[in-house]
Amino acid sequence: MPSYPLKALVLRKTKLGETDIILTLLAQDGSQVRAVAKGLRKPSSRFGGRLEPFSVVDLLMHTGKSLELITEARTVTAHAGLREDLDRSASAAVVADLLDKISVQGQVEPRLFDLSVTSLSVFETAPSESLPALVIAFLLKAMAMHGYRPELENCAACACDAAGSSDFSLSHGGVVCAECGALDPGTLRFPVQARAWLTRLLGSTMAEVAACEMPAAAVADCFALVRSFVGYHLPARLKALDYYAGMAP
Amino acid sequence: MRYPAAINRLLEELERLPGIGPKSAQRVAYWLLTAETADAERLARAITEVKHAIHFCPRCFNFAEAELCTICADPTRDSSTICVVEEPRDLAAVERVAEYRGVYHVLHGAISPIDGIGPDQLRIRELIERLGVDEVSEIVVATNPNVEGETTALYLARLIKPLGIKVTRIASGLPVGGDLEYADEVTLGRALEARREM
Repeated sequence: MPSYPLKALVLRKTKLGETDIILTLLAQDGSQVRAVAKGLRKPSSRFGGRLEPFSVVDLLMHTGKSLELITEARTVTAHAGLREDLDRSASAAVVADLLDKISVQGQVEPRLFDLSVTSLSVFETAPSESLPALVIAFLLKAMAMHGYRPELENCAACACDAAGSSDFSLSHGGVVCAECGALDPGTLRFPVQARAWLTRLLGSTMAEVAACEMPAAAVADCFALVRSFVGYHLPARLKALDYYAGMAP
Repeated sequence: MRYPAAINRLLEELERLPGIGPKSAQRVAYWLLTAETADAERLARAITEVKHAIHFCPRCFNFAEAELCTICADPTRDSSTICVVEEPRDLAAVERVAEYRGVYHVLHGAISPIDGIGPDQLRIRELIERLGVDEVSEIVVATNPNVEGETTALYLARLIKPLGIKVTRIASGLPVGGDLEYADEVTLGRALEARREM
């Protein structure tokens, strides 16, 4: 199959030689694809502006010796609004960085693509104040699709009713009852209200999250917990998430 | 093939250079071996000299041989306008146009959250310090028109505008000699947005 079409989300660009770029893409089926775009850094490039991170594109790919080669590109959604606002751009970078780390070549997960594209579209237009809640919601949902859905109802260790517990075990991947929490030295304590917010964010659509007006204290508690959760379960450091955390007022 | 130790050392060093693979290293090494001794020595001397003589200008962080770079030391340049670029090679590109008569500030990179590059890793603090010392009326942000460059431009604008200094961004649009039908939507959109009366 020398040439084939591919719809994809551009995650990141890596310089290759003088003018070429290696693009990391999230294909529509949720798998990761790495492809070379020849001459992309030249101002006269045919598709320079189309292959920027956060853009959704229709591509014509050519099977190369080691990496795929991009021969044509057409913009589906540029998400240009994300590049015109520092907070939106930093939020979108968290999306791209997480997808870069959790997507795998040949591993299909179509929900991941739909979630990512929808998230970026909401990031583009949502009120600035709702961006942290949207970032938390995206991280929770994407981690759940990756197989790390936090347990927020029963004790993640012994499955007993953990209502009212404010203990969260990173190693067990969810809330734990007081007894199990005491046995795990890595247990984090967080307010019960934040637990309710995590449940709500996980169960809401991104558009609903954008409109939910989450209190600043709950945002701070949930962000800290989700950041620890992602850091514990992912083998690589999310630099964009560290940067985003540093931006918080 | 087994080479004498000295040739192997040379090949190893050459292969560390950007864009030089084993084959290119071998080609350069063969050229050096067959060239006049004086040619090889001149090259070695030039490399050593450039490492000893060139440093970053303490004002703009461009390459400099004297205390200040040639642009900062030039009294005919307008020091009230600072053009901010990512790398010294970008400065050279703007200078080639011969339209700009202000001075520069080289950031040595661009903000890239995904690569973990934040404002602290760039020469942004030095730029802000410079604004407190020099009488500056305009900052021209000439970072690359990509996500990293735009993020850097937005960050600089957010930082500098409250100081009462005008912040401008270089225009982006269609390349001269290009065909309109091949222009991407973002570039064409910006070109239309920044159209001018004739």
